[in-house]
Amino acid sequence: MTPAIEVSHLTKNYGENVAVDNLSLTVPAGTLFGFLGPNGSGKSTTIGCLTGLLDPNAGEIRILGEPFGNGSVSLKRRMGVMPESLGLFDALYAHEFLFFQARMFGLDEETARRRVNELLAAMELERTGKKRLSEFSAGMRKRVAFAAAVIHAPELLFLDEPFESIDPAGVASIKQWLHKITAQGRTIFLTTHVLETVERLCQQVAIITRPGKLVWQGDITALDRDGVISHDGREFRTLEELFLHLTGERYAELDWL
Amino acid sequence: MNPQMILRLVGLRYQLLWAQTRTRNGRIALFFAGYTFALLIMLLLAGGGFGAGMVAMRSGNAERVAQAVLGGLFLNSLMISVVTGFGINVAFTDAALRRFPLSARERLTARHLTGILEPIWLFALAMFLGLSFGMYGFGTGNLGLGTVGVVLLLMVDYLAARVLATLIEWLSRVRGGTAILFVLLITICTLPAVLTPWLTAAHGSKQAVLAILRYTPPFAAAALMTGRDAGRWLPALGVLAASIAALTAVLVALERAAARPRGSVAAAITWDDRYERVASIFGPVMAPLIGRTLRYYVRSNKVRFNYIAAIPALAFMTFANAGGHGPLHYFVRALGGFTVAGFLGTAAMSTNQFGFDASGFRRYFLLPVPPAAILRASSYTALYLGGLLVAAALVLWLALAPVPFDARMPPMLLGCGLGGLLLFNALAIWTSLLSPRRTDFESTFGNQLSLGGNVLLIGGIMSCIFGVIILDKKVDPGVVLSFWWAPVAGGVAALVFYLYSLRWGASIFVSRRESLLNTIEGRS
Repeated sequence: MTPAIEVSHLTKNYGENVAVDNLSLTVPAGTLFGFLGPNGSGKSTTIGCLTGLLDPNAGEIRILGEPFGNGSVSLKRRMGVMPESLGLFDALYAHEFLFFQARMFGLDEETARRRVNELLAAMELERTGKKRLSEFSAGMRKRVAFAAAVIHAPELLFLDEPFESIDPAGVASIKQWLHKITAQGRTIFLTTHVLETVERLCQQVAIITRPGKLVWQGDITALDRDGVISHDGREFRTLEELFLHLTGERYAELDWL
Repeated sequence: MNPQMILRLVGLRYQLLWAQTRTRNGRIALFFAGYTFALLIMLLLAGGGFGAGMVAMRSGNAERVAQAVLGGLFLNSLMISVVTGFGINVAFTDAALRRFPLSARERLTARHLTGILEPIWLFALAMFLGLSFGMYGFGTGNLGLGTVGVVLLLMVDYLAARVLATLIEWLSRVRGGTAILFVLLITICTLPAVLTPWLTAAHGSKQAVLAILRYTPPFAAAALMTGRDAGRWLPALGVLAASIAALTAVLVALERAAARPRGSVAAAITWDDRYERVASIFGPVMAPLIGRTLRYYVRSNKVRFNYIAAIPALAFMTFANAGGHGPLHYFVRALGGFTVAGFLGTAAMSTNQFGFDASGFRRYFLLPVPPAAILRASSYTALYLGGLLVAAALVLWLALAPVPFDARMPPMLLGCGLGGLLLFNALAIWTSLLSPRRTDFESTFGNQLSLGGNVLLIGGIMSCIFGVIILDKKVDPGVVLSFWWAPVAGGVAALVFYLYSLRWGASIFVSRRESLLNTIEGRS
């Protein structure tokens, strides 16, 4: 089966600063793939390169089996992206924004309206007809951004911190939808700092550390069956233990606190 | 009162202003601001202050000269502040100040102290003081009372600007407010043309007007500046104090009204496809993009205000100071007015196409369309809205202008209107790409244009105003009409330049997207 994402030797610099350093990874199709790393390790930059927002300085990207660059319009139609900053048009109402997104991704008017109505009802946002996105709470904005990413039922979904600010009921719904998406053979590339969620949701994980260096990639399904992950001659019972081992534990004493 | 904390906030305001100079645009702006400031001080102290003092001494009518100078300076600084937004931006909102340990009164003081210490009001104070020192230097003024007068006048000026700006902002938000604003603007722009003949014709009307004007703040400040007996300066002091009290009360009431939640209650979704219907004329690929951009233009308070102001501005440019030379002179002035009308309404957004998008900007590059389509959508929307203004202006001209009809006039006016629109929007593509600025979509006031946008807009308006004044003075209107083809040819040349800019701009848009992203998302 063709991998959903193949990245080889990806490098991205901002002037003198290296944000992503010679990163290579493969994301199998139909998986929920967790992409983890500490703050500032280059996760969002990597997603930026994988979605056409940023130009890499070196390396090759293949998405759904095809070479990907910023001009790959037809490939973008098969992808859904929920960026960390959400990328909402704040002067619009939620239904206008979702309708715009649906039309841009090629849905006809009738289908677009139907899906917008269904998504807003599912997200409990159907009573926001007179509220601009700028007036939404953080959790509501996140729901709208998620709806925008999935409205065209993409084959590959990028989600950057999708659960932050969303209430537990909303998180549960989203998790359920994510399982449904992967069950249909579609792929999800997910970043989050909530390691318990990754442990329960994802089949595969990649961990990077500053500056954008891959330090581990592998299957974590064993953890879900009370198993262990072996690395560096040690055994890890949770993803958090593995993550802290790979990225380094940091504790600072603040006497006055 | 916590004066230390308040002064620290004032200091922070200036620190923030200074921080803007860390960008390249900020440094250029600082250079020009410093240069202008030095020039202004020299001009005002020499010309405005001492010059006026000398005139006052020679004419033997010091108070009348002070009234005229102070009245002009007062109105000019008020207008500049309201039109450009300098000096009335809220540096710190009440909500932002609630983070600090300050009482309600201290927050109010801090907000207005940081407001009145904005550079524009210091310019105004320098001008007022220049006159006061000038009058005193030539022995016709009272320095102590004059200084008190100008400081109080400055407070009135600042408060009046805040009241006017808050009122306009409130009107532009409420239903029907846009229509009220339009009527007000038309009235203000046509008032001088109506009043001047009446004042000239009616016997004794000038004295009556002057008697009323004595109760206005600039005339009161002039009385303080030149008054030597308490019978004259005491009532003047009362006028200024009463003005400050009244304006403060109005401002507090308006700010309270504005602070009330807008009450966007829960409401079911209603599909309004008017925007999509309009956008569909640009084809199915562009329609969603233009529908989105059109909503941004229509919902922006700033654009709405400028849009309704465009026709009154055209009327003002056409009819102010052109009378008395014959109706054809109106036509020559209208050529400039039409050129401005097309671009003025949408300039706040068209010169900085992506500045209002905030994090939405990154979505453009996630969409399955070439980036050139994004650039085109934004520019076409400005052209469409500007084109409507030019068409409306032409209909109004043909229906109402007191000028004998000549078949060469409509193509000339259209050529100027559409040519100006195309040329401006071609240049606006470049300012959007090369001189972007992150801006607040919700604000009505405040000069939020980038440096490039300011140069383009102010330069464009000034060129049109002075261009037609020179043309009107140097060339006979009959000769102007004989060159009827020139504006049409200019329009065609502007179209070619516009298409070229769109095409070349698209590749610049792609290559500069990371830099634009940093600016628009506020990281640089």
